[in-house]
Amino acid sequence: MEPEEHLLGLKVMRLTKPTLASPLPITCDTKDLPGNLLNKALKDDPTAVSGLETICIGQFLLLPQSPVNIYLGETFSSYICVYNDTKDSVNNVAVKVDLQTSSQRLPLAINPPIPILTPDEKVNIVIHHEVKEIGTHILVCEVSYEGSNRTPTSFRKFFKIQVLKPLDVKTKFYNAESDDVYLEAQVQNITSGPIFLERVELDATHLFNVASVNVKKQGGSIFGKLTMLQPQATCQYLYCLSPDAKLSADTKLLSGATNVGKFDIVWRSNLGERGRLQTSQLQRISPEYDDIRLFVQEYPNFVLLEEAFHFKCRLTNNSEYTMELTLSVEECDGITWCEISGQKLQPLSPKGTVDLELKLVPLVPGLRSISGIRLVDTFNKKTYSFDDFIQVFVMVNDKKQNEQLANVINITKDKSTIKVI
Amino acid sequence: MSQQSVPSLSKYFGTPETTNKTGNQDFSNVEETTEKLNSFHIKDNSKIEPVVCRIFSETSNEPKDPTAAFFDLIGNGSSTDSGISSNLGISSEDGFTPRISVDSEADRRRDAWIPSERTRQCLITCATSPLGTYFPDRELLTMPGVLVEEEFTDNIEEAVTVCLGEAEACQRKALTAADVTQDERGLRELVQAGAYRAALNLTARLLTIYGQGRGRTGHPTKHSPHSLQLWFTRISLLVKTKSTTLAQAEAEPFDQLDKPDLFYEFYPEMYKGRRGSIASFSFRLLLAELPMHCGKPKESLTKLFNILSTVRKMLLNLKNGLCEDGSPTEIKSSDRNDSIRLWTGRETRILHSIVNCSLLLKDYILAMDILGQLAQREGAPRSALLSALGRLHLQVGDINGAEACFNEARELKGGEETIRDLVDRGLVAVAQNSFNEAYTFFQKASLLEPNNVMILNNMAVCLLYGGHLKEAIGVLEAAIAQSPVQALQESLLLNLCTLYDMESSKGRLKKFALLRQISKYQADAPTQILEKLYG
Repeated sequence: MEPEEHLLGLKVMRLTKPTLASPLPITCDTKDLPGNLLNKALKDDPTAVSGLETICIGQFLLLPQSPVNIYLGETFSSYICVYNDTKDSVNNVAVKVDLQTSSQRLPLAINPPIPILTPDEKVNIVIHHEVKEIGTHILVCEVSYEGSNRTPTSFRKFFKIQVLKPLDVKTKFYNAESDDVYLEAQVQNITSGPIFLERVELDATHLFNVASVNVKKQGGSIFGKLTMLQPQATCQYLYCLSPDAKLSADTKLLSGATNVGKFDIVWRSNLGERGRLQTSQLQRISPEYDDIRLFVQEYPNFVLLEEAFHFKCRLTNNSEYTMELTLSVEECDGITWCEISGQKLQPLSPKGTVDLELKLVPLVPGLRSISGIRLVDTFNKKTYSFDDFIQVFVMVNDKKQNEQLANVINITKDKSTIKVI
Repeated sequence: MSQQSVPSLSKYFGTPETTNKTGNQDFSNVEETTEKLNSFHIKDNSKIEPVVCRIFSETSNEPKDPTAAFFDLIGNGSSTDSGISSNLGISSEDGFTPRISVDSEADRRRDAWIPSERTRQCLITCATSPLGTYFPDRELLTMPGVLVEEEFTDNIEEAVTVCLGEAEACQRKALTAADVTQDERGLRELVQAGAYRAALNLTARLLTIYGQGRGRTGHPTKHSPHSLQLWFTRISLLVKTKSTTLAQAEAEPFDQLDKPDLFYEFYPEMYKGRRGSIASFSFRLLLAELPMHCGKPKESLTKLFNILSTVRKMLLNLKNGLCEDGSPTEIKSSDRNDSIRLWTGRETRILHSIVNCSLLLKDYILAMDILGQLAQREGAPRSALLSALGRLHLQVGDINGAEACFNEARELKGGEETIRDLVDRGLVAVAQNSFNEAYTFFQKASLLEPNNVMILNNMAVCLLYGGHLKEAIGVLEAAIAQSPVQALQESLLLNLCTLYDMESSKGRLKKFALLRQISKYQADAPTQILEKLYG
């Protein structure tokens, strides 16, 4: 009941999606005491689906019966009903609906004055608004009309709405040796119910080309048919960003490219209730490039014990001056170099490159890391070290055993080129 | 069969473990009950049955209901969705239909069950001991009792008295337990009338005859198909009336129906050579489902998978040329096929319950998996199952997935526009926030079946979302006027009350009018709804 006496009444109902009602499927066999009576009661229940009464996925729409949270990115919908509570007509009825957030006041609906509202007549307003702020929102409904003696009267009602955060997105960047950038994103459902992730996309800036690593070779998501997230559950996405060709040509430009892009996430919950969020621009920590860069071109994943192998790499001079370098190799665990240490390389002009081919012999089987490359700039006596440079898997020369090991360890191939910076 | 050969129940108490202070007093009660029970005993398979039982056996004289066999053999049957038993290809002479005479093969098939190892051992001991010498531990006995002191009252009448006055309440003519014969026929009459509370009162009275009435929990007692049927009916009705706490408490002594005294082998002198579970499969399923009706779906899931694994073991036994319980007894091949059919149907029914349970757990992926499996089963109502799967996708918000399922379901029906299909498409529109489009689909469906309450309800919901409150109320009120018995139902009433709450301060009066209608047409109503009407 209204605390003040007004000729009009106002009610507000939040229009969240209806749910699908189902009966309580209690059945029995003909031989049981209730005979067919329980089955008949079930069949006659209007919420039961004919032909599949015992499965509780009905067709009967049930209006929301309990308050549902509202989350950032969802659409807030409400039914506002203004009714004439008297036995006489009321004149010039106008309704104004606003939404007050912590930062602004948004007009949602303005109903032009209705000259005459007869008894039992209503003003019906349905509003929709996509919420873009977290925190307290206040729905302000203002009704103005002319009372019995033509005096303008008005009243206001306030409804508080708490907008919550639906998702937690955590990101991590990995700058790979190959100049690719790997982005790992953890999307956590922090709503109170399960959600369906309809779309998780990385809108990359023009500087990078995106490839999602979340799809299987044969197509389809690695998360199965549906990406459902229970409350508090997290889904992990991985993207590979390759720098634009122009960018990779110039390390200065490349290290300056920190804007990676933003996530665009669309989720759905009960009966298609939709929410959409975009993260802010994601920034990577730019890789720092030394004056010289040693970049692996070609190397084997698997090598045989005690058999020499080669790997190729490219040396680039990033500095502004010509370098005279000495290449030496130091002791490396489980593997030995088959090179002359301390050999002098050809002078390397700025931006110039030279390809190197190095030879090693593995001595111990297993996963081995290659370390111990030293490049000394003879001009300013600066040493550049390259340790844990690449990994190879050393196998015993036994065909059968090798195949087995190869299966187990296949995965290292992709990982070994990524270097965390 | 002499009196002495029957183990007197008081002998269970005679063991030194039982030191009950009031024990002596109870002995006399138990002895009285035992005597009563003994007087019911069938003498050498003669057809003299106790009064209560005789009436029970009259089920067979009732006209056969086409839906009945459908539920017995759920999912096993026809490719059509109508579920009419005539499509099941079973003649009326088969063992599934009840008969007056004892059809031992049909009984064996229906009652078959594999007890747990502990129970099996106990039953072997029981069968191999001389009559009257084997007394199992008290903890192996099932000792149920009615737990409510007062009878269930007519809650509609109470609501009418409070809201509309005693004069109106006096006009109410609801069937009570006193209005029917005090037996199972009367019980069925009450259930049929929907007077579940009155029926519950009658079950309590009838269970008293078996010594399982008020205050009998924890007292040894004998079980028979009839007493267990009474319990099954009682617990079903407790769930139906949402008295879930009581249902759980009263069902507790039965546990998972695995105690030895719930098997025929436990009473060799009474059911010579008969094997299997005295409790019916429906009771077993109900007990497994019970926790999920009480907000503990996780517990139900374990129990349902448990009985599913037993049923699958039984089916495997049958396929391997054994009996259901794994014994090497010879069965005719036609009987074996019937048995496989019956138990496959029950397996399907359990899977349905598992789907329902996973929905309560919000484990939608599990529900989708099982629905998918169900649709692959031979003779499954594939179109109906795909439509359900589609609605499940819709429920979680996967609109594209839902549409794919609905399209497949429609193709299976030859692209025909059925009511179900139109409604499903309406629901897709609802998910897309196109309430006007949804309304059009529902309206189309309504033309095919103008009295369908569900469709009218969905139209009303669309009207509300489109800003037409008054019209929405009009549609629901018309639905009630058209088919009051069907429409005065929980979900529809919840919707209508929500709309009345929105409408004006006159909503209260309208709710009272609704209560008047309920009082006129319904024998029983969920308390939750009545409370809504109190406003």
